Order: sequence, then C-alpha cells, then structure tokens
Amino acid sequence: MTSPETDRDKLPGKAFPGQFIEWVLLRLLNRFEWGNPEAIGGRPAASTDELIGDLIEEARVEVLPNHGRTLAQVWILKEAIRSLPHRRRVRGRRWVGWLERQVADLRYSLRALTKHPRFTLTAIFTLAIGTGATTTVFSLANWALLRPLPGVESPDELIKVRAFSETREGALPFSYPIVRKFFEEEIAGLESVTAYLPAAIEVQTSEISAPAQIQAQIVTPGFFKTLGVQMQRGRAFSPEEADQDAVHYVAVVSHSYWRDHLDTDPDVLGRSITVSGSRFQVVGVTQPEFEGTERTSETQIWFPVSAVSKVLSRVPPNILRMDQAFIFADLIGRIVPGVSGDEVAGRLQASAPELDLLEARVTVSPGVGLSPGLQERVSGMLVVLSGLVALLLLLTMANLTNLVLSRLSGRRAETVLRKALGASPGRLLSGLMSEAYLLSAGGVVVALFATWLALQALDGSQWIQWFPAIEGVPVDRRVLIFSLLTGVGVTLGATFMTTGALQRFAPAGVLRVTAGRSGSGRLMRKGLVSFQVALSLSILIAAGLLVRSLDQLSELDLGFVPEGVVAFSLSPGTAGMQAAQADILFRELIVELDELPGVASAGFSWLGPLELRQFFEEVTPTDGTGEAEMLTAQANMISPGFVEAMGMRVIAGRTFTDEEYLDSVRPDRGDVVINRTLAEILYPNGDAVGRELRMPNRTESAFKIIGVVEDTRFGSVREPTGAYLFDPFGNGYRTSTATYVVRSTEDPEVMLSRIRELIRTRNPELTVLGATTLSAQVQGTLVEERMMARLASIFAALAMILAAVGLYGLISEAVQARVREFGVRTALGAQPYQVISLILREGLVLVMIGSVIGMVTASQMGRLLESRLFGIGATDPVTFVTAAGVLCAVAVLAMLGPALRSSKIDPAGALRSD
Amino acid sequence: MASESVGDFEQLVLLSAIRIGPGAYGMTVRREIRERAGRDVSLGAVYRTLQRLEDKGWMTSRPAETTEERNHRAKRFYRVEPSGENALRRALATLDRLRVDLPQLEPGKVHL
Repeated sequence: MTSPETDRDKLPGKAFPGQFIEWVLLRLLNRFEWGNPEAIGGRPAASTDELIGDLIEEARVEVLPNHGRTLAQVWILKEAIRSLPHRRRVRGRRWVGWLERQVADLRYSLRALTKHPRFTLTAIFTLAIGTGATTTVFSLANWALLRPLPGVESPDELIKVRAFSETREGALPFSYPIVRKFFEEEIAGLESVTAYLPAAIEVQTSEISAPAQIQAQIVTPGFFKTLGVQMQRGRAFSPEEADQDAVHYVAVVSHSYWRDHLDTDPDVLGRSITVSGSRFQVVGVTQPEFEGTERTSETQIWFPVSAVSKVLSRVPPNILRMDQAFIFADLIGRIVPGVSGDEVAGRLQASAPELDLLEARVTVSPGVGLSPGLQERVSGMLVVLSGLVALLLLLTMANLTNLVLSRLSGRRAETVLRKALGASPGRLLSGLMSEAYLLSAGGVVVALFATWLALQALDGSQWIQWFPAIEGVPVDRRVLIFSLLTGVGVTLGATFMTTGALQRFAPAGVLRVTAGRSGSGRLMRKGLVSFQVALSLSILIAAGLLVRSLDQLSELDLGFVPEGVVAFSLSPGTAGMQAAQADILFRELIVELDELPGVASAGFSWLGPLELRQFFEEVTPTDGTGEAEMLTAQANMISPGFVEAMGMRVIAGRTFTDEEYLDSVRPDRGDVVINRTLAEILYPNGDAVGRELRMPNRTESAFKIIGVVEDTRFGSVREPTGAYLFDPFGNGYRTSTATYVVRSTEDPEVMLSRIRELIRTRNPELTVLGATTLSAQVQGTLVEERMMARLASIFAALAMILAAVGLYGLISEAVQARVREFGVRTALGAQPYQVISLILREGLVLVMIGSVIGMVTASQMGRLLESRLFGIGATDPVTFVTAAGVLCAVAVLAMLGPALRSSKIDPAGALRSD
Repeated sequence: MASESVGDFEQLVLLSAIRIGPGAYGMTVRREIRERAGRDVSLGAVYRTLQRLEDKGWMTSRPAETTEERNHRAKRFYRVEPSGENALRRALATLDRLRVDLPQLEPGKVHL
C-alpha cells in the first residue's frame, strides 16, 4: 500500500467522499440502529465511526482510482446498505414497507396490464391523444411566448418603455434628444436604457458583390451591455462610436451573418461591408445564440447611432439633433433585480417633465421580443387552441374513466375477494393507482412521440401573419414537465372518478359475481358516453365554424381578380435615383412590361394591394346641395393599366386608359376615378360620371369624375375599403415607391424572371422587392384562419375517434352482457334487424342526449369564437346541423360492429352459456 | 467454555485474522475472506462477527492509529487470543476426526 501522503497527492479527494455522503452514511447507520446493542444483540457495537472509516478507506484505495468519484460514492452507499442488519433493512421503518408495497403493486399491475393488451393499448392510445394534443399546443406557446429571448442575459430583467398620448393612437416614438434624456436622468431601479431603430437595408459584402437585403438595427450606446450580449469575436461599440458628432463607420454582425455572408472568415474583424456606398468596418461578431431583440425576425447587423444618416440614405445628417425626429420606436431598459416594473414605471412617470414627455403616459411592459399587437394575436390564437385542447383533454379523461370502469367490472371477482380477505379501501385504491401510474407513463411517452411528430409536420408552416414560420420548436424541460403533469393528472383524475364504483363492490357480492352485472356502474358509463358525445360535438362545431368562416373568406368577391397577377415593388431611391429619374422609370416600365410576351396588362399603384399603409383625403361634392357634407375617403395613386391588370370592374365611365396619362409634360387635368361607395354618397342618383368633387385640403380647384369602379377589398380581405378615390399618377404628386401588378397568362415564376431581367437591363442596381403573386398575397393574409381551421379540424377528428372508441366499448360490453337475452329473443323468433335496432336504439338515445348537451355548450362557446368568425354567426345553423349529422354517422358506424355481432348470436349456445 | 462451538463464519474470520497477523481490522479481514475464500461478505457482517468473537473472549481489540485515508475516523486492530486459537483448533480437529479414513475428502482434493 502506498503511503497516505502520496495517496493524498495523487487523488483528487481530500474531500472524498464529501460531507454530504458522510452525513448520509451517519444518518443511515444511526437510523437503522447500527450502534444499538439491542438491535444487534450483545454489547455496544463497533463504533459507527469505525465502519464508516473502513468503507471510505476501501473506496478510496480500491474503487476511486479505477472508477471515479461518483461510482466510488455509490459504492460506499451500496456497501453501507449491505452492512445493515437484514431484518431492520426491510421492516424497520414504515416507509420501507410502503415502498415495498408500491413495488409489489407496480409489478402486479404490470403483469395485469400485459395480460389485457387491448385495454392497455386503448388506454395508452386515448391518453396519448389528449396529452399529445395538449403538449403540442403548449410547445407552440412555449416557443412563441414563454421561452426566454436567446443569447440575452437575465431576460426577465428587461422591460420595454413606451409612451402614449391622448391625441395619438399607438405608442409614441422617441427622438434622439429624448432618448439622451433617458441616459442622463438617473431613474432608481432602472439600471440602463437603450434604444434602437430597425431597418431593412441593402448590404454588399464587397464593392463588387450583389447587394442583399438584411435586417439591421441602428442602436444607441450601451445596446449590447443593456441586453447582456457577449461578443464571440471583437467588441461592442465604444461610447465614442455612438457619439452623434462624428460618423463612425463601424458595424457589429451576427454570428449567422458572419457564417452565411462572410464565409466564417477568421479575419472578419479587418473586413468591411458596404451600405449605400459607405464602407463600414466589422468590429465585432455576436455570440451564436443571440438572434436580435425581435422574435419575429433575426437581426443581422448593428450600426452605431452616429451612422444613421449614412445607413439610411434619406435621413438628414443632423437628425440626431432634431427634437421632432421621432425615429426610435423601441426603448429597452434593464431593471435592477428585485425592483418591479410598476415601480420603475411610476418613477419614469414622475420624471416625465425632465424627459420631455410632458403630456405622455409612460408605461413599462415586461420582456422584449414581440410587438404588443403581435403578442396579442399570438396569445389570442393560443387561447382558442388551448380551449379546444382543454375540451379534448376532458374528453380523454371521460374516455379513460370509462375504460377503467370497464376494467374494474372485469376485476370484480378479484376485488370482492380481496375485500373479503380484509384489504382496506386504501390498499385497493393503491393497486388502481399503480396501474394508473404505469398507464400514464406509457401514455406520456407515446404523447411525446406524437408531439414530436406533430411539430415535425407543422415545421416550416406559417401560422400568424408577420410571425416567423414554425421551425425548430423545442421539446425542452418545460414541455416534458408539462406533458408529464398532464398525463398523470388526467389518469389520476380518471382513476379517482372510479373509486365510487370500487366501494360498491360489497363482499357479499362474491357469491353473485357471475350472475350478471348490476346497473349502477353502467349508468355512470352511459352518462360518460353522453358526456363524450357532447364534448366531441362541441369541438366538432368549433372546428366547423372555423372552417366555414375560412371558406367564406376565401370565396369572397374581392372586387379584383388575384389569379394570374404577379406583383412587385420598386424603390428607385435606394439605387441612388433622383425623384425625376424615378418618375421616368415608373412611366416607361409600364410600356415595357406591356410588351413582354404573355402580358395582358400592367400598371402600378402608389399603395400596393393588401398593404397596411393607408392614405386619407377629405372629399366634398362641388354642386353643394348641402346633403352630402365633407367626408373622408381613402386615396391612392394609380397608373394607366392598373385597373385592368387588377381585374377591377368599371361600372360607369372610363379609367385612366389614355396614353396621355403617361405623358410627363401633360398639365394636371384633375381627373379622378372613384369607387361605388363614394359615388353613391356623393351623387346618389347614379350620375356621378362627369360631375366634380373637391379636395379642399389639396387644392381649391375641382376634380372631374371620369369613372366609377366597383368596391374592392384592396386593403384587407376582411373588409371592403369604403369610400375610395384614385388619382392618376402625375396629378401633382410624386412617389418614391410603386407596386406593380402584371396580369399575364404565363407561369408566375417565368413572368417574374422576365420582369427581373427587364429591370436589370434598365438599371442593374435596382432590386425587385417583394415579388409574389397576388393570389399568394391574398392567401398570406388568411394564414392565421387557415392554421386555426386546420388544427381545429385535427382536434375534432381526434375527438370523434375518442367518442367512437367510447361508444364502441360500451355497446360491445352491453351486447356481451345481454347475450342470453338476445339468445332468448332470437329463439322466440326475433329477426336480426330487430335485435340490431334494439342495440342501436340504446346507443342512439345516448348520442341524442349528448348531442343536445353538446349543441347547447357549443352555442355558448361559439361566442368566444365570434370575433374570429367571418360571414357566419356563432350559432350558424348549417355548421350545427352538419356537425351533429357527422357525429351521428360516426356513432352509428361505431355501434354497427357490436350490433351486427348481436344478431349472429347462436340461441342454443347463448342459453347454455350460464 | 470448552463446549462453546465455533460457527462457520466465525471460523473464516478467525482464520483470516490469524493469517493477517498484527494489523487485522474490518477492512483487511473482509479482503482476506474475499480473496482466499471467494466470499463477498458485507463489512457489517464482519464487524458483527468480530464483536461476537470478542464477547466470547477469543479476540481482543485495541485502538490503532488512524490515517488520512479514512478521513481520520476511528480504527481498531483485532488480535486472536490463545483461547480463540484453541477454539479454532478444536473445531478443525473435529472436522479432521470426522473425515479420517475418507480418502475423497483428504486435504488438497477439492472437487469443484
């Protein structure tokens, strides 16, 4: 043996096996009365100390060097337990006995479950449906809302500061002078503040490479520090670089930008990127985890605020000094741990005068990552989905209760016998519970697999407009715990529901075990089946409402024909073109697009179809009868060919078809085209064409109405635009962007590539933005409705399966129990159809009761859905009747099998069976 | 005293302690039994037997100097007294008497 000295040097463990293990050893040996002479017999035992010392010594010398610290610790504990007197080890303490009983129960249950595979599989499958659906919805919620912003230190300390005023809708943006006030004003509890300005910009990785549009942020000093973002390489911006007095050409890039656009160049810190002709040196690369402050889009490059006028080409150089340049929409703060957001909000409000936010109401909302509007939409959708899966879960529990009840009646003889032999109710229940634990374990495992499959299937699909597609939704610890709690909760709930039935098994009943079944349990089971029908009908109706609503939305007359139209935008300013050049480009492109093969018509508008932006104009008729007073109409500027390319319908007069509208030197003739709604308000007699209107905010002179077009849902599929007025392009306005629509018979991809080619020949620096088909754009606005309808339909299908399984089980057993009766009936001359209808009638009564309850519940629940429904009421009779019909059909199908079996009973065999 | 018999496991412990000589304690006795007799006994069983043998007066123990390796926990050396050796000798002699004239049980002839 080596000397203790060298041993200590060689082994890591001066503290081996550690205080905790030694404490456990002492407790263990004392608890089992190692030192108590009476426990062992004879005189006081060898001291506990001695025993522990030996164990430690042997472990250190023999186990530790070869197997490592942990195994050596385990070895010590194992040997200590082996050393305990055997009789004490097993029966010494109550909990040991309890544990032993649990193990025995589990073993017994496992054997019982494997002996009844049909019950076991049905139960696990049922449980997996409910738990899996719930877990899937929870995973989505976890991914979209709960999971902390990645790559950020202590995200729960981050807040968003917003200011609201009475006179303006939505949060007020901040100017840089105000943001600087936030830096200077020391607010107790607020550790630091930073502001940023998101911008989509075009970046070249070198002078010669093609520009790529990326998401950037222009950030104030302390941005990375406030968020607690670490740099993988290089550094964050220094305070001087954020200074407003001199432009600093530096940038920080994200890890993914470095990987995807800079080829993971190890010398990245020396490189520069080019934005609008200015070169910016890369000074830092963020850690891979950090994807920016927004969940909705990944930020790839950050610029210091001093560079704002160089990054955004149309920003005046002194914008940071302008009090009225409200460019920062987002202000993020980090609060001191332990301080509540409300406290900080109160202090900010108190300092509002110093912050130049006199009139404003300052609010603080916890967390960052989602805009409030989007947060509302995401949680709104999740609330509905959670409601649906809650119903599904309830249904699962009812199903499971039913299954356990049927299993109990199968175990009636055994239970009664055990009771007669003196098993306490607790003991009987404990047996049931251990079965429940096993089932829930199996159910949760399958449910997690189902969740994984569901997430896989959902992967890449869009669920909410402007929200990133579902991708890489993690099944993390939170999801696992949630799933486990749900599965165990449902199973235990179902088991407890059956304890009543357990008590009814009186020992006296042992003699009557085989003499048929008593009615009490069956009544409960029948009630449960009705309940299941009601629940699944509710889910089915909810799904039906959502599907019908989606149908209504997609079959709407939009007032234009999206099929066959491709759309794209141009913003010549970003390519360095002046407004006059852009004018010419816009004009000439129409003609050139028209000449492309396959094009039927082409045109552009200032505000594109289904765009969020709106522009309003005050309008009044000229022959002022006084009836139609001043009204507000949306206004847009369109080119010749636009109405035709969109497929809008002209009701009266004409549109801007003339070539002369393309003539740049043409004087402003003041022609307008209006829509039906505006025409009917201004000139209700239907003679609007040829009359005039005024726009007093614009000019004193009158505008001549040359045509009326049908109303459209130009801004949103969900509602018509209301009064709308079209100016011809060139009516005294210039635009920096234009959205083109091109109607053609060609394949959209082919068409778009031709268009790209055409624009490249015009100006290689021009980029085609947002190229898509109009149909896709229309579909895109319905993504939320479609996802809801899809998920709800899946839940409804699952609910129907569950209800059908429940019904099938009940009827099967009913048939089984009445074999003799049917035998007698058949022997007395009953026809098969009579027996079948007897069975069906019994089931259908339950289905009917359930349906009525289901419809009542659904009509109540429908109100929660009302705000999401389009074109139908929450109690849409078509949906209700169809859903009930479908459910009845499924119910009959589920009952048909057992019912047919009943008609094939051999009377002689049945009569002999008892 | 003379009639007191020596149990099977007591024989193992006594023999091991004699083989080890001075410096026998729980851990070494256990190791000796494991290596020589191929029996993996628990330390608790060894100590319980050591105590019983001490109670019978066949062994004695005295505190020994503890070491760093056992985190300075108590350590005792156990020694087989002459009375213990006598008892063991009697037990072995009984076995010898019984197997005399039985060639298949001669020492060294182990049929496994």
